[in-house]
Amino acid sequence: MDGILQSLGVIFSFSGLAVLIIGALLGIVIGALPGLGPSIGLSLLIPFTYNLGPELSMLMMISLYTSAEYGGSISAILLSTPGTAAAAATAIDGYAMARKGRANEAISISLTASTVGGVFGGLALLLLAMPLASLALKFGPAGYFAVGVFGLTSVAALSGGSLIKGLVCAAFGLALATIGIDPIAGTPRFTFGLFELYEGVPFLAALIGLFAVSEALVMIENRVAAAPVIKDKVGHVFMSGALWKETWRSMLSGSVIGTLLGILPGVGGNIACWVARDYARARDPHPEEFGKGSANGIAAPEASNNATVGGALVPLLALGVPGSPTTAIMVGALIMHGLHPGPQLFTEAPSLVYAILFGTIIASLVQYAAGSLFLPLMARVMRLPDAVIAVGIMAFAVLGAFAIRNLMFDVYLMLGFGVVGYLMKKLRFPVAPIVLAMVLGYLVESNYRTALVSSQGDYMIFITDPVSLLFLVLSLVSLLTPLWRRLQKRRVRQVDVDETANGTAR
Amino acid sequence: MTNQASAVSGSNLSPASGGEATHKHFWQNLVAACLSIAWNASFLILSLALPAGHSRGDVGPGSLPMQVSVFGLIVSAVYLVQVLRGIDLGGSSERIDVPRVLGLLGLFVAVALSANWIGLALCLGIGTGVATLLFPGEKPFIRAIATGVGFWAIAYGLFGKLLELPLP
Repeated sequence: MDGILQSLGVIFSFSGLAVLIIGALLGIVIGALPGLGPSIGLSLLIPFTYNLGPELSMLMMISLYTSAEYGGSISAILLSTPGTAAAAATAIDGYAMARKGRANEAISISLTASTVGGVFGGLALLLLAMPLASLALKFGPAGYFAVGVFGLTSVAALSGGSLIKGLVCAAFGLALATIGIDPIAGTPRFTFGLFELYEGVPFLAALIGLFAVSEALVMIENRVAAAPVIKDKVGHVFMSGALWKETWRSMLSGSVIGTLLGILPGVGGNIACWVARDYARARDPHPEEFGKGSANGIAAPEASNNATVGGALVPLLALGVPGSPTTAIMVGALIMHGLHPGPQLFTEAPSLVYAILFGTIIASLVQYAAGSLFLPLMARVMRLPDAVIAVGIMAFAVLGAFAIRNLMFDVYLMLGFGVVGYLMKKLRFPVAPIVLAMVLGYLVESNYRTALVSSQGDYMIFITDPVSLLFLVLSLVSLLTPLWRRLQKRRVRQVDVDETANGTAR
Repeated sequence: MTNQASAVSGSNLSPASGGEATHKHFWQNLVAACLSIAWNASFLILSLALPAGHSRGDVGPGSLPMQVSVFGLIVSAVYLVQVLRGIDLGGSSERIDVPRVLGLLGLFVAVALSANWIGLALCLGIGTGVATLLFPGEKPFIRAIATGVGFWAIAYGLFGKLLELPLP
């Protein structure tokens, strides 16, 4: 109870509300700028939140994360360029509606649906995280090891088109995670005598390089032609009663879909938005309107991508396993404050946990207020020249990397990771598996070795422990499902080719 | 991203037929696969040099790195085989704008290197101002001065003074 009161005290204090508002404004701007997204925004923000303390720092990050998911829809609607991947489905009906002179209406649906989705996801987090965490507290090291392995299998979902490239990246990330003093014996590994590497590769420096610097380098190459901006005046964002009546079902279905998919490792808003849109179209009495500016075509994906925020935080808080790059970055923030995410956080830092639980809901409401009040300003921010955005990213990356430990070594390392990230983007390697592997590497190794020490070297502990067995089986299923699907697709394609060939022969 | 459909079966050790882009992807992926194998092989050698564990049942500090590098070698080998079989695993079809990319990167490396002599805030101001000149646009010099002064003010005022970051 004390934890709840303390957390509410923090949230509703002047500083609490201030960080929520700043986070929301930054999130909307970062989400609205095409190419940037919550991962880049958070990686640049984290180093500067160190002085705020863990509660305020997490509130600011959740607020940014939530609002960036909404912000992506602004450029999707006004420029037909989704600010984030999760707003891709919104661009279809949003831009179509805007071209009909209803940009204001499209943004009002997007903001309202995002808020509804965010609140729904937050409530789901509030209800699910605690029971799951109390269950997880009973897990032994073998169980935790298997949970970590299960988290790593989301690499399959985060790999994009090529699973093998995703696995290569995961191996690279795991290798990086083993650099530094080892967690059981205390032996320095792969440090080459550099004391800066004794605590391991600084996770935030790697993140900033891989996500932010690489994006700035990509940005300098792309000479973007002027986008066909919708010049409608964007003012109020309140939805009419008729629109509420038309869209509430899509908002609800989108929220449920987003929350459930958000909980699954590796599945985020970028997948949820399409699933929610398809589901809404299947249930809509006028499916032919989809693609031509349907209100439900905006409401469903927007509710779903914001609901994934609450969903994605469930495994993070309950099991300590991030299911997406953005939540992996949040792990980095907790580590920076000397905390490790997982069920033990409920007893070690209850006020922080409740601040996250309640903060997720409040952040959605703050996003609504900030989105309503500052929308005309946000529409102008989208016109910032690429030059200013790219050098801004580089400048904040340098300052952020330095702020982590006040070492210039981290700045050099960050720039190095920036080059790696840039080359990876060019060669179509997914960056997310590296980040996930770096976060989960410690969890996997420390529990793997502790389990073996406790079983005196008997590997059967991973099979005899029921939790471990369950998660190892789930990991296998999670890894093999995409392969099975790919084989199925190839078989269907082969059947089609055969049928076409037979038809031609006749 | 990845065009599995354009996969060409067979074991021909040459890029798949499918245009210039596929040809480029072949060489890019071939180099990437070789680099990946080299990285994992070096990591394996370094892992094998680590001492054994002291506690009963402990597999030692080198065990997981060794397993990770073996896993990395296996997936890299599969990657290489896929590339050599002519499967288009995607890559960059456009030429890299080397002067611009290296220019931006070089500028910020210079910023980092000179920070200890003339101060990070000033370096960032100069660096960001010059960096904007790498981008096309109207009134480049006014934009460069405005950006440079703006970022110097942010670094010095906001981070140096307000957030008390001990900037070099």
